Amino acid sequence: MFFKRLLEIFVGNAQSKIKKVDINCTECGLVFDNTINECPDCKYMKILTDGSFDEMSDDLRVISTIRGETAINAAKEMGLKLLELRAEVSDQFKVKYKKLQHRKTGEIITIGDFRDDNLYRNLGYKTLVDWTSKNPSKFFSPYAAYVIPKDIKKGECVLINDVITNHVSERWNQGDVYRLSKSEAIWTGKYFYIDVSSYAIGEFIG
Amino acid sequence: MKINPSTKEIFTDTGTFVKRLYCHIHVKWKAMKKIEDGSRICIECNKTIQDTASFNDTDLIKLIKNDPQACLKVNLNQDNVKIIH
Repeated sequence: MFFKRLLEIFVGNAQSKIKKVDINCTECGLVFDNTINECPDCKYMKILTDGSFDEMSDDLRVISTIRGETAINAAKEMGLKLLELRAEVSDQFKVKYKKLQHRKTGEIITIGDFRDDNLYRNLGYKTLVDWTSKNPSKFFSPYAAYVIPKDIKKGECVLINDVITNHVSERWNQGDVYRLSKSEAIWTGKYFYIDVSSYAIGEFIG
Repeated sequence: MKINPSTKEIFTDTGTFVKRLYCHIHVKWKAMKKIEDGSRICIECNKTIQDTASFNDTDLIKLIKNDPQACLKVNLNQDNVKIIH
């Protein structure tokens, strides 16, 4: 999910030109802007209603994350056990980019590596937007919760696909700091101990 | 060498696709058994994982040509790796 957000930053040239417009959800009436693909309230309500709580991945139970007051209140009404946490954007996460335009063709590209600067300058690109950092963290609501399975046992290892708390996944030596969005975790009986190393992105093996 | 972290695909500096890094076992590099040439052995599958830190494009292509299933380790902070999106 984190990299999906990254991808949105770098590939989203066309999208970034689209003017921000409010959309009224036809199902629940929530007003959200067109930079979001789907109504966030409906998205998290679907998690509650599609019965996916028994999902497994790599032999680990998958813990569902819900966000927003609507889904949290609905989950409480359904009698689900929740671990509520505040979703806060942390300033420590940043991803840099630079936008270039080809002097002849007008093609616009986005680069993220300082070392590409000279390469593209020699290929005839000029700077459109100089090096800028963005924080890719964006939560539509400060209210978030994990749905805790009733039969979870202390010490059980689980998979969380949408981590609520902020943890550094990797610091690139060019200054970029990536947020951990997916992780294995251990249920302590009171909270999830996030095993950051399980899904940190520093090393790729395969 | 270039890597797209979102797809885990690696390419040569000229943009030729080399392979997509994927391993369902999720063993950490630190947990693997060190061997003399800098590569390591996976404790789960016994395959040798090549550290690409000192590879150039020629080394990389040669390795994958000889063994398309060869396992590689790429770190984002390697000097020979550029990140693309």
